[in-house]
Amino acid sequence: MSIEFTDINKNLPNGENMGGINQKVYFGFHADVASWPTKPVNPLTLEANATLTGDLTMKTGKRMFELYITDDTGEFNIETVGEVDAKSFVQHLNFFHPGLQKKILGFMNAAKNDNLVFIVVDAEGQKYLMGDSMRPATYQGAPDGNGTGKETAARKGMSAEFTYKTANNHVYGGSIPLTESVSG
Amino acid sequence: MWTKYFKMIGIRRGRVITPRHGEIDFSRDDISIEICQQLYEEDFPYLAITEEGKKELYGAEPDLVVSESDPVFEHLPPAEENPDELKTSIPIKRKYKK
Repeated sequence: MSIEFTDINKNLPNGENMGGINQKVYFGFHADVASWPTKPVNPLTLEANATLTGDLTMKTGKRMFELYITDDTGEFNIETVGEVDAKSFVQHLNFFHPGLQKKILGFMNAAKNDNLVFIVVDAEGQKYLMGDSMRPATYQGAPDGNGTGKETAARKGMSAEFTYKTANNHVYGGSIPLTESVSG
Repeated sequence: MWTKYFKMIGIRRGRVITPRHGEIDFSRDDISIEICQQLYEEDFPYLAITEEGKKELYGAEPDLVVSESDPVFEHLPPAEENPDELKTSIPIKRKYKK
């Protein structure tokens, strides 16, 4: 059986359709993930075709972490790429973290050349998992700069962009463990 | 207290962003049992139910204890050790001479 098309109507539960993402994004090392949610296999509906099943779980002693971002600076963006008959997507996460504290500097030092996974939550609570068993999210640069700014009224801090290449876009419905995994 | 009916598995007791209830700090003792039950029923991977939870929340009887029952078959007496009575479909040949 193949996927069945259905009508796609205006569907905004409670009239909600705010933009932007939450003020926290969740991240971890790609290598620390123990198991990934599964992508749809022969889905019969459009919704099933965009839904991941199961939870992301971490290896023993590992966990996901949260990162604060300044309000209205975070954006999750889906770019379509590829030639005809070879289309795919690049998901972009952009954000700004205030301040130049050692923690955020250390994070950028560690993240810039490593493989990560991010979970982004939009304003309606819908979650997007950037990373799968094959591909990580990787650092691309600082779209809004890093540093102190020039004026005293300038915004001091770190901006960052991470991308994840994927054949399809999915919604993640699982949990995010912010506490260490244990064996057994 | 929720820990009477459920126990955490796979992670230490602490914070988890749950699918429908947002962030829950499982190190707290005052989490609603209804929320835990909902999570459990929605295949939340980090909660297992206790025997008491099965009984209280689902009316399940405790696991049956297997006891020794009467033998179904009668035990036969052991065969007498008499090599002369051994029979096979192929005659046994003595391989080595004494």
